[in-house]
This record gives sequence, structure tokens and C-alpha cells, in this order.
Amino acid sequence: MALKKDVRLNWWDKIYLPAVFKGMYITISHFFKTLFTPPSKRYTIEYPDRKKEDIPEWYRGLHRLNTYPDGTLKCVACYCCATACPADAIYIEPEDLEDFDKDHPKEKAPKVFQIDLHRCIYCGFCEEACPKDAIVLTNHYEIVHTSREAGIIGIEDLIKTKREGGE
Amino acid sequence: MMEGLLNPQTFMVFKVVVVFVAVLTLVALATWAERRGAAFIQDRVGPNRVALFGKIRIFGLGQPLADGLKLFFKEDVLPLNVDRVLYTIAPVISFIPATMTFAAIPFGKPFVKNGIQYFLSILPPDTNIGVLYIFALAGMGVYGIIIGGWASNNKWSILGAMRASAQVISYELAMTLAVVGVVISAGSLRLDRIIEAQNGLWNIVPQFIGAIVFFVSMFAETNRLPFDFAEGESEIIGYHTEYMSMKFSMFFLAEYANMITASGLFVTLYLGGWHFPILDSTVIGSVVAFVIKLLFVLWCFIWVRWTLPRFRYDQLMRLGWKVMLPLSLINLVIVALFYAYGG
Amino acid sequence: MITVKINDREYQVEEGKTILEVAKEFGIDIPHYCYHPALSIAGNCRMCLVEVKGMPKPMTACSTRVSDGMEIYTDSEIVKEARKGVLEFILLDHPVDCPICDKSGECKLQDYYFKYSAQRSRYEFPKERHKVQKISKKIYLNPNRCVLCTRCVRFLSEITKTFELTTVERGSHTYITCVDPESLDNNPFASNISDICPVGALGLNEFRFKKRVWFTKKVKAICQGCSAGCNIYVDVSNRKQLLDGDDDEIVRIHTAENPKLGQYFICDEGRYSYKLYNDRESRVKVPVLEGEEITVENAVSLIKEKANVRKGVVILSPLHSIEENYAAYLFARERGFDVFRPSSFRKDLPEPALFIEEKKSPNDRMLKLMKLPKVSEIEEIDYDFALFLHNVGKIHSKSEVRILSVLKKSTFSVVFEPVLSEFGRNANLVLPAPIFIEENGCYINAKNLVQRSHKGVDYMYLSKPLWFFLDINFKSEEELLAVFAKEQLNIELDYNRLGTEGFEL
Repeated sequence: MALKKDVRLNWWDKIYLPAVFKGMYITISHFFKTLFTPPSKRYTIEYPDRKKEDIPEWYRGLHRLNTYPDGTLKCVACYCCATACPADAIYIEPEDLEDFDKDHPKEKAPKVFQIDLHRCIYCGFCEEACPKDAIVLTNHYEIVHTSREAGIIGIEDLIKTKREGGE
Repeated sequence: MMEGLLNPQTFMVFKVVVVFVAVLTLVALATWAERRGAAFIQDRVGPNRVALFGKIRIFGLGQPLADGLKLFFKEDVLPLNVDRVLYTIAPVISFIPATMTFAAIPFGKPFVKNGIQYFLSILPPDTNIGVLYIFALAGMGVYGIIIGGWASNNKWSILGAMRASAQVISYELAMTLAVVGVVISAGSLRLDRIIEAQNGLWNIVPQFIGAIVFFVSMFAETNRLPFDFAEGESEIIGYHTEYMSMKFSMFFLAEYANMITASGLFVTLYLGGWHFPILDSTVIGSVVAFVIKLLFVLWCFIWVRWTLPRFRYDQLMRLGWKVMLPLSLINLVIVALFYAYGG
Repeated sequence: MITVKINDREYQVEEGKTILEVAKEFGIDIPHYCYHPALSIAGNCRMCLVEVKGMPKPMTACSTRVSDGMEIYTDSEIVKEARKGVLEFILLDHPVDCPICDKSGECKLQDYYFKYSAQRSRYEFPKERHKVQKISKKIYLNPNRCVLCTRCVRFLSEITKTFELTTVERGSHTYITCVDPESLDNNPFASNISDICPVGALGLNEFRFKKRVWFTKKVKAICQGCSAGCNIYVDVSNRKQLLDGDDDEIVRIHTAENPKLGQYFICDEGRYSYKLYNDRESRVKVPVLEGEEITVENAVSLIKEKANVRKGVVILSPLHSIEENYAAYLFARERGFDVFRPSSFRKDLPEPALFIEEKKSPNDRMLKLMKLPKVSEIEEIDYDFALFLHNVGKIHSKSEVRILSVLKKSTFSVVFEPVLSEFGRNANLVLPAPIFIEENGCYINAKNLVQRSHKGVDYMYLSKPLWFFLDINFKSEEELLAVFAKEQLNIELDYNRLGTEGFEL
């Protein structure tokens, strides 16, 4: 059942003009407020001239593949990210390292790990699915390419992505 | 040197050129003001990136120029199955009356030089039909819309045009009746007499109801929000759906030119024309006073547009016939009674 | 027959069966690792514990036989607690490397953990680590993941009787090791231990890191390797992704159980035969007339025109399904053509052979049942029209020679085959045939069991079933099977009646 509010207008309301003037007062007050606010303090950040600095940590931007301190990839090519990816943006080719004897044995690693940034919708499911914390979405939002090929980035580019907050 | 050139013929040419250029410049400025004003009202920034030589930003004042250039260079496609002749002349029919109307409006105090009286309006004020001329031309504007909508051979265009014409007819009645009050109080159809009659007390004070009716009808006549039925850019499709390039921009210019003319008319009829305390003691001052008043009314157009939402069509018609028309009649009766028995 | 009560419901069961078998029969799922219907009972995984009224402790369902009036509870609180405990013990020394384990997705340990346990490990000490190794050319062993169900050990000692794997050490240090890698290489059934391993401890080197199982589609089919008619699952890649190009590729073949056939395993030759079907380059992609590609419509009308002769021959193939063969047979009968059958290719049996058959064609029995003359009985070889069906695989070399001469001598010869062979090169028209995974087809194995192989992927390129090319008025393969059964076997048969287990003649 739809709720219907019984509104009764008195003669003053029925003229409508007071309400119109009230509305016009509100709009003009906003006009002057914005007019006398210096551009740096307005809500709009004029992007190429000024950049947003306080990007929250949970922002989902460019991907990064994490590495161990010794430089080896954390990724084990388990396909969890590729499975979770709703846009089919991740392509993995695994490699059998046959490395069975080390203290931290690593049997499997990606030979090819590509992300098609044009297909990616930055949902963060890959980050969520990753069992090794290998793939993360950083807060870099300036992702621009001049060709479709350049949008498909591999391991070399992904490990070079800076961590959150620069570095 | 200038004194030597001053004779009625050169002055006439001078007036025509200045008024035409001023109106067109004002059109460009109005589009800029519309966009910037809307942005500020909505706490945004608005167009500000068009810069001179790629460096000097000048608050986005270059935007109308850029828009004009863009529209000028757009491909002009003639849609299939349109009525070619009407399709082409419709924007012209819309645009020309809009600019011509301004010819009758006196924009400054008349002055006498070398024994000759000079009037600051293009039409000589002694054409005793000033107000009628304006309404005749204002009525022409809607032809452009109807012809454009019909010639487009598009059902939505013709529907938009139908809405516009119904609206214009409805509100023209109320508007004209409101103006009759002004004509009675001045005792003349001549616009300079009407202005002269307002010396000291502007019509907006004694004929407040008429002023409101005229003001509201003005919005309807120029197809501006909240009566934006001809175009209905956000929800309903308007008469110029099939138009593009310069033909579209003609309609676009006509809308703003209409706004300027309507503002000028409102200033003339209700805000005392070029009258203003102190300022109107000189000719230049009177022109300045007129322009300031005109700009204020113009700003009201923009201001109202970004405040009020659009009416529903039946609401528009109800307002026109059941509220505006009776109100203008009441105004007329009051004014007539006052001048018959009171004044 | 005796009466037992399972979960408060009475069932009539045969005496002498175990609780697990009885429960399975009635569709009650009891989790288990070490039990396998083809192997002896070990009772060492303790996963199948159930509550039996009157018994002080939960009993292993796999080794307890049912008796009259027994009351069994398969999901009482005690049982749930017991399963939880067992799983915790198994997982104490499990590496939990599911992300890189090829079994994950079809792993029993994973499934049961989420179903019955789902608790965090309370174990704080370092886990025991063994070396992961490739114990043979086919198999790798990861003892870390092993749950010591000893299915593999029992398989190799009971079924193949080759004894390559064994457990060493005792208690929690026990692990599986290979004592004879060479024998495992040569064992024609060795790869089955990867199928029967409930976790990822034993796996195929060929499948290692190749594809996650959830990117594949299981298609139940019949092995094309020999006339034993083993039931197999063909795993087809179904990852429809822009970046991956290998859609519909056959990734592996593994065992499908068929109780009617009494077989739980397949041979390695059949298992690794999937590579033959992945060769897309050499597929006949479009109908080819004298080296020139033509459209399917042209091929159909051409056959119609060329087959309008009196003296023609159709040679069926034991490598094709009942449906394809019978379409060709109907075509021949309509026109009064001769019909012959080639002999199957024979291969010596390996050691041990178990169920492997000598005849290397899946449908040899059908042609025999139809009592067709052999190709060696062809008298004149200068036919006006000849149609030969061929498939991936071989036929007997003597038949091969005979058929080749028929194809060469005939005025117009047509070969229907998926991969271009010597036959296709000597024919006027080559028709693109689908491979077994691309169409529904039935096969009669050496034990007279009619079994169905399912369609798993679309027809590749322009390949079409034969009845389409011959323009025989049928809507599906199923109709052809029904006609065959009616005319040749005098029975009513359709896919419904075949079911999953097949129909015994």
C-alpha cells in the first residue's frame, strides 16, 4: 500500500510565489557562496592542474604484483584471481619450477601474467581471492594508454607499480 | 569630428550596427552566464578552460566562441524526407523576428543636438504602434518553431512544436492583457510615452499583478524553464531534434535573442526603461541604467531556470488559462477603474 | 534379505554387504577415502565412521557388514564429532597448498573439510616435509599431501600385481614411496593411481599445472582406443575467455565408473590418446573436392548427383559410431549399393592386460552383428561410386590396401574422415567428420554392451554428421539409433533406455 500524505495548502501556500522566492534565495546563496570561494577550496578538484592527494587506502587503482624481499614473485599462478575476475581480464600461464628442495619450496609460478587494463573493471575481486596477497590494487588512478596493446601489461610492469602512497 | 558626422542618417546606421552587435554579443555572453551561473548555483565550476593562446583562462569567456566555432564546422546533414525549403528557412524565421523586436525598444534618453531630436531606438518613436509591433513580431517567433518541427518529418519534432505553439498562444493572451494595463496608464501605444509615464514611479509598483503576469508569461513566450516544452531537453524531445550545425545554432541564438528582447520589454514596460535616479541625467547614464536593468532581468531568466523544475503540460495549461488570464483581467479592470474614476 | 535401519528408516538389503555399500546403494552419502569398490577393504582412513546402535564406539562403515535389525546413524552428533576429529588429524600434517594443487576442485579432502569440519587448525608445530618428486615418467608424488589411504598401494598390488608403491616408516612418519620407478613407467595402468588418489598426492606429470579443474567441462564418453568400451570422462576446456584461445581443447581423459561393465579403471594408452584429438591443424575443416574447398551445400548436392549410379559401394568403419555407420548403410540400401566392413587393427596385448582388447576399434562388434561381408570379399573394384568412413585410428593393414585400391579405381570416391589420411588423399571428395566428442554416438563393445558417448563440444569447423551430408531425412542421431536397433537387433532402443550404464544385448 502506497503511503499518501494528505497535504492541505492554505491560501498563502497556494500563491506559490513565496515558495518560488524561497527557492530562488537558496540558489542565489549557493551562487554567491561558490563565487566567493577560491577555486582551491571548491568541491571540484580541477584534475590536471590539481590532483587529489588524500586517496583512501581502499581505493582500487592500478594493480601490483607483490614480491618477497629477495625479489621472487609471491604469485603461485593458482588462477584464483582469474577465476574470480568478472571481466576475464587476467591471463595466466603457469610454469613448473620443479623447485622441490628449498626451505620455502616454490613449485609453481606464473610464466605469463597479463592484465588487460581495458577489460579490468577494478572491482578488487582478484585482490580478495588471492591466497598469497600477491596481487593488490594500489591507489594509482592515472592509467592511460595510447594503444590497445599497451593496455595489456605483464609481470615486469606489474611488479614496478608503486606501493600505496608513493615510495 | 564626431560632431560633424552626427546627422540623422549616420546616427541611424550607427544605432542599427550597435544594437545588432550588442544583442549578438549579449547572446554569446548569456550562454556563458547560463553555464557558469548554473555551475555556481550547483556548487560546480563550469566551463573555465577555454583560454586565449592556450594560456590566459579569462573565466571561460572563450567558451561561447569555441562553441560557435564547433557548431559552425559541424557537418550539416539534410535528413531524408524533410521538406527542404521549410526545413532550411525555419531557423531563419525563428531568428530574424527575435532580433528585429529590439528595434522598437528605446534604450536611452532622447537628446537634442543642432536643433534635431535624436531618439535612442531604431524605430522612430512616433510610429504610434510600438507595443503592437513588438507583439506582432513576438508572435512570429513561434512560426519558426512550428515550421521547423513540421518540416523535420519527425513525429517527436512535430509534437514538440505543437506543445510550443499551444503554450505560446495561451500565454500570449495573458501577456497582452497585462500590457493593456500599461498602455492605459500611459495613454499611448508609443514605447517612449510609456517610459515617460513611469518617470518617478515604475509600473511594477502600481501594476504589481500585471508585472507578475507579464514576467511569468515571458518565460512561456521564450520557451524557458519552467515552461520548457518546445525543447524539453531532459525528458521530452523537442522541435529541433533533426537540426544540427548552424541551423541548430540559429534556433539556439533565437532563444537567447528572445530572452534579451523579452528582458528589454519588461524593463521598458514595468521597470521604467532608461529611468533611474541620478543616472538618467545624462544620455550615457540612461543607456547604462537601461543595460543594467536588462542584465538583471536576463539574469532572472537564468536564475529561475536553475531553481524551478519544469511544469507538467496540464499544469502549464491550467496555470495559463485559469490563473494568468483571470489575473491579467483583474489587473486590467483595476487599472481601468483607477484611471476612469480615481486619476 | 535382511532389514536394517539407516537414519530411522528401514531398508531391505542383501546379507554380507558392508554398511558403506548399502548406504551408497540407497543414495546415502558416507564420506570415505580408503574405500574403493574395486579394492580390498583397508579401514585405515576412519572417515566413514557411523554410529551403530549397541556399539560402544563409532564403527567404520566400509568394513562393518550389515546384520539383521542393525540401526545405523550416518549423521548423528557422535558421527559429526568423529568426522570433525578425523579431518583435524588428517589436516595436522597437510600442507594446505590448495592454490597450486591440481586436485583442488575435485579433492575429497577439500570437499569434506568444507562439509564436515570447517575449523581452523590448532596445530602449532612445524609440519613434516617430504621431497616432492616425479616418481615415474607419468606420475609425480607429493607425500606431504598424502592422507595415507593406501588406495594406490592396494591398486598396484591387487589389480595390476606389480607392487611399485609401498608405505615406509611408522605412525605419523609414514609416507608413500616408489620402490620400482622403471616398472611404474612400463605399467600400462599406472596412471590410474592419480585418479583413485582422493587428494593431490599422486598426479599426472602431463596434467601438472596444465589447467585448473574448474575451467573444464566433464563429458562422459566411450574410449575409442579398443573394443573394451571403457567409460571415460573427457575434460574439455570451457574457459571462454578473450585472452585464452584454447577453448574446447581436450585437457585430459580420466576414468568414469560403470558398474554394469564392472570396470573402474582405464589403460594409459586410452588415457593419453586425447592428444590425437587436439590436433586441429590436420583436421579436415571443409569438404574438399579434388583439392579444392567447397561449401557443405555443394558437397551434399554433389553426392546426390554422383551417387545416382547403379554400381556403388559403401565401406563402413569400426571406428565410427552406430549412428554414422547406419546412416551410410541406409544410404547404400536405398540405392542398392554393396556394403562391406573392414577388419579392425590388431595389437598385441601388454603385460598385464586385464580388460584391454586386441581389436583397436570401439565399434567392431556392431559391424559383426550386422553380418556384413568383409572387404576382402570385394570381387570387382571398379565401382562408379564409393563411400568410405574413416576416423582417427587405424584399420587392419590388409583391409587398408584393399580399400585404397577400391577408392583409386572408382569413378567417384568419397571419404568421410576427421583427419586427412591416405584414404582421403586418394578420394575425389573428402567430407569433414566430427570426432567422437563432437557428437552423440553409441558403440557396442566386445561384451555386447551398447553404450552411449555424449556430445561435449560443438562441431568443429564445418564438420557435420554423415546423415547430414548424405541428406537422409533424420533430425537427430537418436532416431538413427532407434532405426538400427529396430531393424538389426529387433529391439526398441533410445538414449533414455541406454541411460548412463548402457544396454546389454
